[in-house]
Formats: sequence, structure tokens, C-alpha cells
Amino acid sequence: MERSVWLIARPIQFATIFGFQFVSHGTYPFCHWAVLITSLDFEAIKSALTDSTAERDDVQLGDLWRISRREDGKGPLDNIRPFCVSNAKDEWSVFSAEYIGKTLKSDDEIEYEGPFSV
Amino acid sequence: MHENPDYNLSGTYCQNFTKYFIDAISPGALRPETIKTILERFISPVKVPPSLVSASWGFGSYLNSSENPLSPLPSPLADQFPFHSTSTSYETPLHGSSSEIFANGFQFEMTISKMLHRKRSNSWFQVLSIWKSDEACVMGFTYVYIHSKIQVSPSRDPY
Repeated sequence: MERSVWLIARPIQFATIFGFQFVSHGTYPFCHWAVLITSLDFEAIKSALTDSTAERDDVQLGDLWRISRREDGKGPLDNIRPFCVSNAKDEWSVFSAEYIGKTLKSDDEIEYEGPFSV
Repeated sequence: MHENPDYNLSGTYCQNFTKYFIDAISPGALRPETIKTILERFISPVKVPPSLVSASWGFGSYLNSSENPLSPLPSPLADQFPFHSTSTSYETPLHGSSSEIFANGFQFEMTISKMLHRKRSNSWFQVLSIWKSDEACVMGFTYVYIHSKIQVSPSRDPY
């Protein structure tokens, strides 16, 4: 199944400089980066994210892949599956995203056969 | 992973992870200018050409431009902030929105989505900000300090 690939970034500083300007003029912020793999099109994601009602919080946007420190001792490749509107609001409330392209890889291929498996 | 030694858990290498990851699942799809486009939005979201955001659905906005009526810094913005409580109780989401169409064709909408902190009559709010046109939509949350002139009257404080 062909799915869309999106690249997402959020400024790391924002969480620690709550409410204040987090980017100096002309300098890029340090960011946490992740990849969203979704079967939704642009309009569907746009609709889900821009509807601020709580009823839409459980809408599944896709799978989010990132690196993080995991307590279970497994490899650094981590995912949020499914990645819901509530995740976007709570953990990625300030972010920038861009469409990258398509992938035919399945979840298993990405997790167990890809170059990041450990 | 072992073939890519600059991919590790260090925060600054998080970007490298995405490069390798995307190259593995969608070879050749990631262009260097894409990363720049994403970062540019954090600096000057209003000035991003529509052609660069036509396939985007999110950005983090910090609204301190003189073109915008809101600022994340405490400032006298009450007269410019058209939100008000519609009842005597605080509910989420609340309580109104504002919309404005700019010359570049983008419509800007703001909606209060959450009260974060309230001290006396001054409050921090999470505000959903949306720039949208017929072919693009960029959104994000910003945080706004509201002075006491705004008539928000929560009967219960979430914190």
C-alpha cells in the first residue's frame, strides 16, 4: 500500500522557554525531527488538525517515527502508532511539516528490515 | 544504523536520523531545500511564499510581528483580542475566534483552545493559529498572555 511521507520538526527550546520568543532573529532553532507515514491526503490531515474540538482528538493521522531514549532497552528507533491528533496537539503543538513523497514500505519492513533495526 | 555513524541519540543528530530514514523508505525524495523550508517557517512564517507551503499542514507560529495582533510576550493586547467568555463557566475549547484575510490571499484564524495558567485575572492561553488559503493550510499553537480586560470568568481553574 502506497503511503505519504511527511517530515516534521518542532523547536526544542520552546518547551523550556515557555511563552517567550524562542528564535533569535535570523537563526534557526534546534529541532526535534520525526517522520510521519500516513495514508491520509493533505485535505484529510488539514481537516483533522484544524478542527479544535475534542471529538477529533482520536483521529489517527498515521505512524510517527523518531529516535528517542527508550526505557525498555530497545533500539533508539521509536514510533507512535497510531499518531493521533491528540499526540500532535500535546507533543508537537508547535511544529513545521513538509510533504516528502511516497513509500511502499510496510510497517514490518520499516521496523525489522530497514537500516535502523538493531 | 551501524553504517551511519553520525546517527545517534544526540539531539543535534536527530535531523540526520530523518535523512537516513527517509532515504531508506523513499529513496531520493528528501531535498535539502525541504529542510530549509521547514526551518524558515519558525523564523518568518508570514513571508513564506505560498508555493513553498502548498503541501504543508503545520507550522509553529510565534506571533511577534507588527503585522499580527498577538504577541507571545506580555503586552497590552486586550483591546485587540476579540475573545470573550460566552458563559460564566470555563470550558474547553472556548470561547470564540477571530478571522482576517491578508493581502497575500491567506486567511488567518485564531481560536482559543486551552487555558494554561491563571493568576489573578491574567491568564496564559494556548491559541490555535491557522493560516489558510485555497491550496495551503499551515497551523500551529502559540501562547498568549491576556490581561484582565478580557472577560473570561472561569468558575473552576484547571490548575
